[in-house]
Amino acid sequence: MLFPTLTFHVFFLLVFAANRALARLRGSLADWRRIMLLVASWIFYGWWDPRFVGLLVVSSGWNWLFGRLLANRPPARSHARLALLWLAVLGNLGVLGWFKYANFLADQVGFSLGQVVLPVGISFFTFQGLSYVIDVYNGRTRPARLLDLTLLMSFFPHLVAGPIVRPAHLLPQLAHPPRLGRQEAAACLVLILWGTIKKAVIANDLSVGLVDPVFANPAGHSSTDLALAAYGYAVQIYCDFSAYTDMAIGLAGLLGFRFPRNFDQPYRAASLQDFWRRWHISLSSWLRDYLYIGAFGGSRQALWRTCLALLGTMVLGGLWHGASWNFVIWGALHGGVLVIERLWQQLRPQAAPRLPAWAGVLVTFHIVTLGWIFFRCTAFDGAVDYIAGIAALRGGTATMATPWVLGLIAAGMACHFGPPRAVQHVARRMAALPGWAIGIGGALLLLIIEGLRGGGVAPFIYFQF
Amino acid sequence: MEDGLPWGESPIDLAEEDDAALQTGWGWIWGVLASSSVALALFNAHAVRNWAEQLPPNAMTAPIVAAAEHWYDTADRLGLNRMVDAAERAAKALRADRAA
Repeated sequence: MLFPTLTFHVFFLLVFAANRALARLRGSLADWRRIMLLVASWIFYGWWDPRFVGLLVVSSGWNWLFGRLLANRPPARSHARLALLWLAVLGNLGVLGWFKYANFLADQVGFSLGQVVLPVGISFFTFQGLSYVIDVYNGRTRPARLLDLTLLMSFFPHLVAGPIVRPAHLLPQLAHPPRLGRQEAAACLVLILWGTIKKAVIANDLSVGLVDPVFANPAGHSSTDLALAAYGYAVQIYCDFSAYTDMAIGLAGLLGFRFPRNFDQPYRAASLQDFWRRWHISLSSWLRDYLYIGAFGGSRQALWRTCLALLGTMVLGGLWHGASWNFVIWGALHGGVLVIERLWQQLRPQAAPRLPAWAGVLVTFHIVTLGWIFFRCTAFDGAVDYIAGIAALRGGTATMATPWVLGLIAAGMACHFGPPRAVQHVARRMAALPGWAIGIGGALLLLIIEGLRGGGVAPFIYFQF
Repeated sequence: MEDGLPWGESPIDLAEEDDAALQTGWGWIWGVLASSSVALALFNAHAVRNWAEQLPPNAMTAPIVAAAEHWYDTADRLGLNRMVDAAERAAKALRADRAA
């Protein structure tokens, strides 16, 4: 079930109505609201493949069990507790490893496992589960009830493509009756509508009209087309993924839950470190807290160890996206540049000139776009050929550079350089208008999107992760 | 220990609203959802037809597909499809530049 579809529209209206009706219940009856949201989330997930609802339930049960065991075993740093934590983590990684990496690893040793189907969103809900047990171990969150933890891991707005919501951020919200102010509601609507435009118009059309045909046949296109398609993919993946999280945040907000910001104009970053503070913030902060600091020691150690920690974190972050050498290279590229930035920060001579901010933005954007070529290509050789095709300055007309395509790329980039909090600004103005007027205006916008988007809606890119 | 998402970390955090304001949001959003759903049901027969066409063809879905087609034709006769048609034509014209 995809967000910008009629099926989801009807599904969400029913869930919204039930959520509002059950929100009036108090005491032990308040659980019915959570039960309804949980069942709705399973229906949403089961729409793709009902078999994997069982996996979600087992994964939630596993983490709940270890959360209880960890909470019942003081003192904080005993060996028994550490062993329990490792067991819980290995259980989560084992499930992720089997579904996501077993085929890849088997291929490396020339062995075939047959078809292992990848459950949608497994990387996301596994990370939710991991952060829960680690947080319980570290005392950052209380052990949750089975119902609450299962809902945390299954909640449909963030289930298949994030944002990764921390237990300490969402679990307390489950305990309170939902409240929804008019301005909050308006902000949710703006996010949903803006996400629909980014996904259904910009990302879809760039994919069909530029990126897919060029990446499918790089040898048949000029260097200009190859470069244009690389820029196009940078815009497509931003519009696709940020659209999903915008809609997820808006939908959760309408049900009375606040999710964290996941994107903050990433292509205006003036360094790669800055980029990772703006791109997929819930994943980058997860990797920072649990891997870079939690597992590898962070920056409070010798410089060379910090650099290794950075590189290791980014390579594993790349591998999280999928079982392919291209993702490893993508992660290593980001890790390598982050290491260079860190070394430059530490060892830079006082007299060395500083790069102007605009130049930093330009350089960072091109490093990120170079990384996206590895991210988009299915094989390493394909990515190398693609980059060689750009570097060859192969002649020929830029057949893909139409006003429509250029306009879509410009629109996708423009939202990076507009006011940083434009959504909130629009929402404040909308909240002053009557609801029926906003409803009619929103419907008109959706009708225009319906006409502009051509045939259907492609699945979100991040569903495969 | 946990205390929920800090204020300001969600894009929907606009202003600390008082209890009275926090209750008015529900009525307002109901107005938005009800009016937009009615408008979409009236003017977006395309989406209903597209959805019906994606149903697996069998005896159970056949009447649903027929009803969706019938509604599309009726909406077309009444001129309710004009806005989506106009947007489709505009998009086609914009994309057609590619082939020129």
